[in-house]
Amino acid sequence: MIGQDDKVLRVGLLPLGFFFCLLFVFPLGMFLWTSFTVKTDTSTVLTLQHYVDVLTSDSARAALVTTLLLSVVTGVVSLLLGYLLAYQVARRGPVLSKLIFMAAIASLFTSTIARALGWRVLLAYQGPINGVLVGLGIVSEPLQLINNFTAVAIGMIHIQTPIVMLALIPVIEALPKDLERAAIGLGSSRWRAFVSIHLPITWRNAVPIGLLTVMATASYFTTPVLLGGGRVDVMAIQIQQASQVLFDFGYAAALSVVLVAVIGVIAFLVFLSTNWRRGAAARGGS
Amino acid sequence: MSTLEIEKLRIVYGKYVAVDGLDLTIPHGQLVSLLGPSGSGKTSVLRAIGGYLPPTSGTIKVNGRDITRDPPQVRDMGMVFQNFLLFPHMSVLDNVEFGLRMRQVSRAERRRRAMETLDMVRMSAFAARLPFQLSGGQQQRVALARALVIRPAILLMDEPMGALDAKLRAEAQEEIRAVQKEVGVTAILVTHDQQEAMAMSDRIVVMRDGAILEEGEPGRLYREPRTAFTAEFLGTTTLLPVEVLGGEGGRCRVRHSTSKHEFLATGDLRAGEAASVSLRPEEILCSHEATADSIAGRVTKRMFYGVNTFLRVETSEAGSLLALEAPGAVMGEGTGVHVSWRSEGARVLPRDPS
Amino acid sequence: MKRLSLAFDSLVCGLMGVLTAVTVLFLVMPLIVVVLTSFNPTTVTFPPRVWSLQSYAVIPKVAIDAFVRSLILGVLSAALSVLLCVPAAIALVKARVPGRPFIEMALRSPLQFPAIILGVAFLQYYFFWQHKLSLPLVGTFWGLLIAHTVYTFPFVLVPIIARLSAPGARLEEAAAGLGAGTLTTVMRIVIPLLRPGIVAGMFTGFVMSFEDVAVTMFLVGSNMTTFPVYLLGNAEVSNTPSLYASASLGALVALALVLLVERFFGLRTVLGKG
Repeated sequence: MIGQDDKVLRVGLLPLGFFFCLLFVFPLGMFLWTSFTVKTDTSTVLTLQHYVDVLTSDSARAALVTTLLLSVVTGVVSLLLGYLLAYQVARRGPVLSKLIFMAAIASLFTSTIARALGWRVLLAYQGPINGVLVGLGIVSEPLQLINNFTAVAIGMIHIQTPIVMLALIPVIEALPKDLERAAIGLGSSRWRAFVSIHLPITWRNAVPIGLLTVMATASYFTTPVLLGGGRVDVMAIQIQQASQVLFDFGYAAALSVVLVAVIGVIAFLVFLSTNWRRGAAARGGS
Repeated sequence: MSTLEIEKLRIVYGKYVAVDGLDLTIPHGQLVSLLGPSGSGKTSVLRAIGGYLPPTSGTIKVNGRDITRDPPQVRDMGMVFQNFLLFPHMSVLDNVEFGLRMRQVSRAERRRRAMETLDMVRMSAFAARLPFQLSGGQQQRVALARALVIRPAILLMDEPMGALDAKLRAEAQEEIRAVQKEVGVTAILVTHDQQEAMAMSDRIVVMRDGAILEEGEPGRLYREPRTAFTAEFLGTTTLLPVEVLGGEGGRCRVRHSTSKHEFLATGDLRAGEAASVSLRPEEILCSHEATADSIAGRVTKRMFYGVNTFLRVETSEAGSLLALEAPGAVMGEGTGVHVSWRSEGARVLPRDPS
Repeated sequence: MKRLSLAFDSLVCGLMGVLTAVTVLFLVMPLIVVVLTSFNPTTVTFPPRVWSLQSYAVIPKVAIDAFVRSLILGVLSAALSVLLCVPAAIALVKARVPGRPFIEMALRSPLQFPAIILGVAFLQYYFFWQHKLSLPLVGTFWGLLIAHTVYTFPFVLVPIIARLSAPGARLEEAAAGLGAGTLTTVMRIVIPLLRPGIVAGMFTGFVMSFEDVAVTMFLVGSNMTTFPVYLLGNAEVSNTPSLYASASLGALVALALVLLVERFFGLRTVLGKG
């Protein structure tokens, strides 16, 4: 601060810094250390055994695949739906805009568990959705919509869509409404105005958000547990079982490192995509 | 009642020299303007005086006491910022009382002095309002009150009219000047607006590229500038490139560099010097009839500004001139005119190298 | 424009409208279903054949306790986070701190870690200290509070830093010129103007704490559990209407909070990126 003493201000960083080191860096460091060690009766030995176990375990590999698949599917679908909703909120009149916004917010602030319970009812074998499908003659028999990958995907999309919408609203609002009106005034159809003017400018912001959604989905635990019925094994569940059921912290730690590594790779992609966007803007935008 | 002395003030940012060895003395009770284009270093000087910018070298003294290294809190100066910097979460009264609160003035006394100062700027009716509820002009008056209530040794103003629109500016200039005189506080005003400087100041310090070019009383600077830059910066003028042929007793014979037209001008330059002659519009006489030393010209543009009308006159002997139309003597575009001026109205000045 | 493309255009826009409506329905349906299902008296059917509020009456005391505990944990961890984050944010934004970008990145990094990993790491960490200091941590309120504060503080820090970094008048200069020292300026000028950021931070922090399962589930004890962990445990093994009743109540509280924030602060500003 100009005119003031910076030294006094810097002290303010100490409590949080201390707290952070003692209660975040140390626990994670210890956990990381555990992934590289095995305790015998007499000593602690450095080893890569845990990682070997992870990479050779069928269930771990399957869990990784499931996690990635779930994350990508969720990322793509919630990006599309979230973009649609954000567009409506940003462009429609105040009443409609607020309605859609509040619906998304209501969904967002209902607990993950409550939402999953709701889906459990909706997707049940004899539940309302199957009832409608069979009743309308779309299918002859109820579909297995619960306790499988589909259910978990639906649940995760349900969770991420409002978040994506929130993130995209400022992006779309940054574009003046009149831009599309100008195009329409010059003879373009609404659809083409959207595709040729709106989309090119905003999609570069949308990609990092989509990738962030992928990252976030990879971390989730509650929804896969409640909607997967034990059959959808994601990395988070593997980690939980390794620690709470098997008490094998080394294995759990190794699994965690692998998960973080995967998320890290996606984070790197986010970094690339945002910088590539900034680079393009610096070069005059294309 | 305080005097300010600045000696050899130097402010350097990395390789960029913002202020280059500046010396300035401001006697008590005067309002002095630091006038110059952006980049002239005037704001840096003000901020250094206020304590917001530690100088690279040099000293600043108030009443003989060296305050160069003092933090702003102890400098006993009141500052009015360009965007006012009123505390948005505090009422007008709280804003004005803030400085007094910092000085541990008792509540009753605070209230009294704050209301008194608000009265002086005619804002006491707004004491309970919040800054966002005030117009630009009103905010400025509150900012002034806040700076003055602490009875500072020196009042500093950083382009205080910058955020106001043109009409308000004139009013505000009058008001600030009136208050400053009433209180009798030494004041330093930074501005790039030469009209403002001329209207308000006891003295003007013209700055360019981190140094003082000229200083003096507004009238003197306007009528008898010593540099071409000052002539151009204060008011309007036409500068004619000339060579000095010779002169004495305050008069020079000069020759226009392109047309070789010779005439008399006022000034003290030596023969052979490259110079500029400053001709203010009001010194140029345009008439329909020729006189002994008039030159022929044609009005190419007529610019009506209400109070004044300016004429752009193209001549072969003196190039393009800007003249003031005499009231009642309308000269439309395309009119042929005869242009002349008194030698007293043509000031010969050293030519600006840039 | 040709008539065909006009028709096509209307069709596409119409489809988008329908899709929007479907999506909104998609978002809202599960909540409605949960509330409606809770009106079953004994068995879970949808739609309920018998409507009754009985399920609400038989919500076990454990659930209520857990609910209250979650509320307290949420408020306390948000408040603690604010106490830690405000001075830190001021230091980072207003004072010249060497390595500021790295420190900021480090402090934001917990957001990148899956909560489940934090949970397991904490479990291990608590065991370590329990062993070393003979101090119970797992299954205690303080243990939960500490873990929740670590989990929530980045959510609190981000909006506060954003608010401080927002370009605005450098009021500290005016304060200094009027005689205010560093601490006075911070207390009287910087922090009062920080209020929207603090509100946004506390809101987000509370919500994250109230909802957390992945970290908390490792650290609960027999008489010390939180609402979402209780719900999860219950939902995994049983399917009774009072489960839905509990869930509905939880959702109701969250929605009430959202409405309160919207009424007093405006949801958009609180949720905005800065």
